[in-house]
Amino acid sequence: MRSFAYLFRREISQRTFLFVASLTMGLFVFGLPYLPGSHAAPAELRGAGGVVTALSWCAFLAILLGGSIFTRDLTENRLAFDFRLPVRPGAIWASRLLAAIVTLALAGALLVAPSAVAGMDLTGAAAGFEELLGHGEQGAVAFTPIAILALLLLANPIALASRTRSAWAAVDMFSVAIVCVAAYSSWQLLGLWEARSAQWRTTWLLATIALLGAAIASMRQVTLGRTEADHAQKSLSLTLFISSLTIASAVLAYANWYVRPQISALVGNYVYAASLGPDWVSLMGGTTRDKDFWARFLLHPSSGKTILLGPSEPLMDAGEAKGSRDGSRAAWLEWDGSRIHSSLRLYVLALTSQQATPTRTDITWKSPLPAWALSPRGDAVASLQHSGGENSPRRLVVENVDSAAIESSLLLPGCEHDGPLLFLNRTEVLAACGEIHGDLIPERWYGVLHVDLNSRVVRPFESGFYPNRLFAWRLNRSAPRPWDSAEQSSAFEGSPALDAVSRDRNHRWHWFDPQSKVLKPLLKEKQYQTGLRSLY
Amino acid sequence: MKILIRDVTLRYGRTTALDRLDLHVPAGSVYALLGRNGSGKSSLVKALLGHRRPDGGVLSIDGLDPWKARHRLMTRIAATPETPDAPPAMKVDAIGSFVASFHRSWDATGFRGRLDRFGIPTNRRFGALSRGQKGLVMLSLALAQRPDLLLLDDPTLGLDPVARRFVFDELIGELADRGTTVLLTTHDLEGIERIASHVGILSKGRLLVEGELEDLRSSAVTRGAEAPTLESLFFHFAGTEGN
Repeated sequence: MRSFAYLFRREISQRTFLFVASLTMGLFVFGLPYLPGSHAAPAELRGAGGVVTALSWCAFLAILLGGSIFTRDLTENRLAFDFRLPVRPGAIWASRLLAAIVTLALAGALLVAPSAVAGMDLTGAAAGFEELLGHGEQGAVAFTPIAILALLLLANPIALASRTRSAWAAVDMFSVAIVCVAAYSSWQLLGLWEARSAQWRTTWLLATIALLGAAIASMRQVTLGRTEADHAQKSLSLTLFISSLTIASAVLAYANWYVRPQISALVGNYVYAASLGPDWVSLMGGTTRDKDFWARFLLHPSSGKTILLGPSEPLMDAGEAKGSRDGSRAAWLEWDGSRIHSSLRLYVLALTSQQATPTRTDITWKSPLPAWALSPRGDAVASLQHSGGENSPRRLVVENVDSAAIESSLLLPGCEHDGPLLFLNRTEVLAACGEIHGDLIPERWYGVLHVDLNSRVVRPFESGFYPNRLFAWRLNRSAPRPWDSAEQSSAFEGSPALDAVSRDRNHRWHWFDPQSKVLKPLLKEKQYQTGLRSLY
Repeated sequence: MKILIRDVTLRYGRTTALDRLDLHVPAGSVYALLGRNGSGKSSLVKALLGHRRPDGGVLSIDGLDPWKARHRLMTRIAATPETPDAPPAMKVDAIGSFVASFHRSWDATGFRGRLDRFGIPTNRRFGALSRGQKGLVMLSLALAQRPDLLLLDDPTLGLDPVARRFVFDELIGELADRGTTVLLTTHDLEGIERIASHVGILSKGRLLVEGELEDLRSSAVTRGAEAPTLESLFFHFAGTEGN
């Protein structure tokens, strides 16, 4: 420890001129408001000028020190002086690295010190960080030291490679490529699942391990390479390579683990449950991974079999799995390929067999897809598609699930805003056209159209439909159609989710218990919470 | 302190610097390691200082492996490099104070005395000194540590005749005072002849001959050499062709 202190003190004392230069620049920043032509408020000018100058100066010093603390002395045969002292190699490495970090901190502090004493307004600087990072002062506090440290640590391998001109530099580049590919792949995967929190967490994980790896690599460069540049380069490159493999494995493993939650990861209060037939249930909701990460499952409650559905567009109907009214088939959408905002592909599952596995169909739709519906027997799907620009009339397209052949394609006049779709029967479809914003009544045209697929007649449909809840159908029982269907998305508000589709056909009602994280059948209507009595 | 080297091999890429070298430096001896440029002398010194791990063989100083126990051994070993390497921005007296802080047995009086004798200004930056002055500062630093083992890698390289004499005079004084073991590589055969007790001649990383200087002289005379000086011994054993 004493040896470390001596070495550290020597490193710091050798940089006196840097501290003097920092203070001189600080005095210049302090004097900025007194320069002719300065019209901004002095405190604001000092704040913005101080932050920008300190960051630029520290970044410059980080690159300079990073390229010299180990590598310059090594390649100019001066590191041997320290290795002839009775000190451990680790102390040589640590003292030099810590001294460089302290130098950067001191230089930055000395630069802003005169302005800080006179008063600095950091509002402008914080706004700049807000623009750059999405986080103002907090982002700056977290990001700046890490970025400076990254420059310090990454300048070392670059400097060593450029000085030794060894073939091992190719390994370094390969290591960088591995990290980049892993970072890109994990971002793509998490982006596909809309896992924004995980994307940022992955970035931090990657940055942390990368910095740790670069630090360990520089340590091994010094402790194993000692005074031999070629050996130092080899030790550094091998460690960087192992680090990059570790980073790539960790990041990819995390991303893959993240997007494959178990059904028990569903958070009860955010789960939407709907029965797809007599034996299968669709569950969709927030998970314990993160509040913003939603997962979709198909569950066979009696056997406990679960199927995790692939990523999809989370909004509107595209995120929901739907069951045919006869309980024979479920259908849902997944992103087609590995890129988001491309097209959505339809998948189906035969609900009659417990052993059934998801089947990929040939039906794909361009994203964003406002609404789609499955026919009563599950043999056809209807979708509302854009016929042109955003405000152009929507086109209703009905396709055969098994052959992907288009059975009907009709323009819906006046239907310029998206709404839900519903098959009344195999040849009649209801299409709601309008825009719903929360609980507000939309200002624009809003209504339900009845489409007869055989006669291709489209006419307004009188109903009690109103948007009391997002994505909810509520039809008037006095309407002429004898079907009995209602869906309620009250689970979004913290209550058990229910589905009352065709209860007279022996479909079961379920709710997701947040405590036990188990889907339980509701035996009696009395068990519902008071707020759910409004269900039909 | 004694040095034992058994079957040591050291490579730089495809170049073999030390080729299964066997060498023994007895405690208290002044061992002159001779050889032409590129014969492996400096590589051996680096290995003995723990700066480079041998690719094979056993290397020990007083039973300790210099690679693993370098920091312990360096409390008793002092060395001068072939190229002076102290921090160029530090002043000479600051370098002395810095090195002194690592050695309990630091001879501050001796350090200042030698610098005075050598005529080196102590308030000058190391980087501003001449090549010869730098070499003498490095020697002063090494001797002020009062080491049990001195490893000197061509300490007279680039020195003028007066400075060369200083080096050997200081070494003679040190040996007379403390009986330090010395391993020294040099091309200054005339200078080293005054103090060397043992001689080893390296060629292409292998030891051609090793032994006490007097024994080698006797051996050379027996084999018909005319003048048993160190220089004639070197040419006798190493020859004048490539190393």
